[in-house]
Amino acid sequence: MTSPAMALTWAEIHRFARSPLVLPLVLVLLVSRTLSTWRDMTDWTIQSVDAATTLVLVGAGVMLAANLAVLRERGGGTADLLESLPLPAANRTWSVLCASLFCGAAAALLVLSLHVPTLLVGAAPAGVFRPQELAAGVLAVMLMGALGVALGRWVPSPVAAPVVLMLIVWSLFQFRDSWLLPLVPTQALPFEAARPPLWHLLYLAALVTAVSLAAVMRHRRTTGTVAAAVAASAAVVGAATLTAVPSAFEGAEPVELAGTHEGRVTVTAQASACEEHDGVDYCALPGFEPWVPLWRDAIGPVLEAAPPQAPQLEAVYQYTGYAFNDLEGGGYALVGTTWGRNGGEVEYRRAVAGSVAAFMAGFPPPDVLQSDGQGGFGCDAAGQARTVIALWLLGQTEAPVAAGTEREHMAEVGSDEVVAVELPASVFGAVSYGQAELDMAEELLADPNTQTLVHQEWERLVDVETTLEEAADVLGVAVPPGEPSGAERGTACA
Amino acid sequence: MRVMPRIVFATARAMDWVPLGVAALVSVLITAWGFTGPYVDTDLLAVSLRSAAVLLGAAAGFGLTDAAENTTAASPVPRWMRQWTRTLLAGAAAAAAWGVAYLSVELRLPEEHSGVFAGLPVEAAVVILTGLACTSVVRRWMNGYPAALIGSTVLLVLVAVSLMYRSEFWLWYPPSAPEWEGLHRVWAVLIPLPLLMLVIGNRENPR
Repeated sequence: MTSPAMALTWAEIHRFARSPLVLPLVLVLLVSRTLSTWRDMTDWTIQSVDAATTLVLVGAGVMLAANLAVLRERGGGTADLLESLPLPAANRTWSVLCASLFCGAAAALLVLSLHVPTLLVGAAPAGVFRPQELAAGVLAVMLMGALGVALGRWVPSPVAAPVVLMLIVWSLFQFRDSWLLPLVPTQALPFEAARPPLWHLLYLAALVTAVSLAAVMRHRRTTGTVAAAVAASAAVVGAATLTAVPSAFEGAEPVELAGTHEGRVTVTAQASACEEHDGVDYCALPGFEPWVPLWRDAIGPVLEAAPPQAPQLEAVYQYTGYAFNDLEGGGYALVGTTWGRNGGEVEYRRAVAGSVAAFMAGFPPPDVLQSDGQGGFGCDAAGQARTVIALWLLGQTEAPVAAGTEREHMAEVGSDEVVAVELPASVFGAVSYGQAELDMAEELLADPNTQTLVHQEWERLVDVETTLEEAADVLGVAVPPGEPSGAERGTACA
Repeated sequence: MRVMPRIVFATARAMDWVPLGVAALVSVLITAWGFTGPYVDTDLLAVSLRSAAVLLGAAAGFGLTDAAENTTAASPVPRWMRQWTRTLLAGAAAAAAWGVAYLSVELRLPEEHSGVFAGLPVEAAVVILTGLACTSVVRRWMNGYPAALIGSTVLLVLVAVSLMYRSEFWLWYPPSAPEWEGLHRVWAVLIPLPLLMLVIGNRENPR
């Protein structure tokens, strides 16, 4: 490259660095990504894809800045002035192109290098870290930069870039499984059929080259450029074919999972996938093994506080999809494919500990609660002694919270009609309870003698017929004044 | 007040309608795409209608740039009146274009889905107003298409950031989500914000 071209490239790089469209967007993306993932436990498989996909925001800035840089030449009266410059239009295209590719890659790498380490804070990461996905994100930003330049040269209107940008974003949603897109936002689970990122990387690199050459060819069509453009286009087609053909997919084979039901439900119950700790099988989906200690930590205190005569928890299953249909009866707890960190784990811990506590205190399993009994969906457990016991068990892990309601869309029995129903919702499933139960559980949690009394009187305390007043007598606490219990708020739990 | 019609016609002639025209065309095309598959996916149609609103909001901002600002600044018509005239014209055109896309969806929607998008116009109104508001504020510092491009980028940033925060008040729940029904009340609450931004952006220049 001649020195005027070098100088111009540097000047363009400086303009990119000062552009209100590049660094501010890097900052916005960095801050919003880091904050929005701060309380979610890291799953590398998903985070690699998400980190790459959200780089589109930086790509947008680079694309618009590159487009503006090329369109600058079309400002009023500039054409005559440019004629006297040492560099012809094609070289100016090269300069903006080099600057946008360089700045695009630098901006993307800056975001990734600062954001990815934050995912390790307070984390026990699950899944597979895939640097190829991140590389695809960087290449996508470079592609958008090149696209900005090419659009400026071929469609010299300020409208073109925003419209194409919007089309890119729209197609990310519309064709979310197509590997012909620069980025594929579909969130895979670690054990699902592999993504073909290596071919896809080649495809992206070929696209970047082809679009760059297309930009230059607006003003320079020498044999060399044309030949290079043809070669790049051939590479795009070739890599696209290899990317889109499923046989080229590499990586792990999809894992056969027990309990898969019509492709909707995936529950691990494979012996090989389960680890036994204190008589409980913890069955993690492949890739999620690092979360077993987190689940144990949430469930352990509940198991310890319960007496030996309480129903035994047999297994903890991790599931994706709707697991209720497949697992009948009780004896198990379910955990999903998400967890929290940096304070976000409290709700997850409460949910799983609550489900174990509900099972031990004899509440019906979730699949029963969500079907229409006599008086509607869900049930009310206010006024029952076992509610307080379940809350006390839950309190060993996390402080119990009030029950709420949840709108659920449900198919009516015997018809296709889908109705929205208001269901009670608490950590015990579709079960409601009141402030009196919460207050009493809090009192019990503060009392060191509770455990001994609960162990002695367990059978009586978890009996459906036992009332709060009777439990208060047994446990030596007062019944807190609360709203009237039971039947007024729905069917009482059986 | 007698000058108002003249200002409106003169401004309408002076405005750059190409961005809105292109955006309108693209909006209709992307929403029509939702009917090309074997079945109608209302979630994807919502994405298309929302994308159309963002695109039209960004394009409407181009209507706020005034190539002859240095000349019009000397005219007796105050800046706020000139800019509000542009805002109303561009906003009405963008809303009309979105309305066409929306109606083309509503009319072709299979019966079992009818009425599912009833809340979307509120959303589109907020997005288009926000697009106008972003450019109108950027216009205080610069003019020409860089102002509109930066305004569009600010709109894009707002959309992208709001997409990233999934919470109870997430603005972008799809129609299949249980939150969809209450969602448009949240959008309606947002309407005053872009209006306030427009009041700030369109006011008189201190210079």
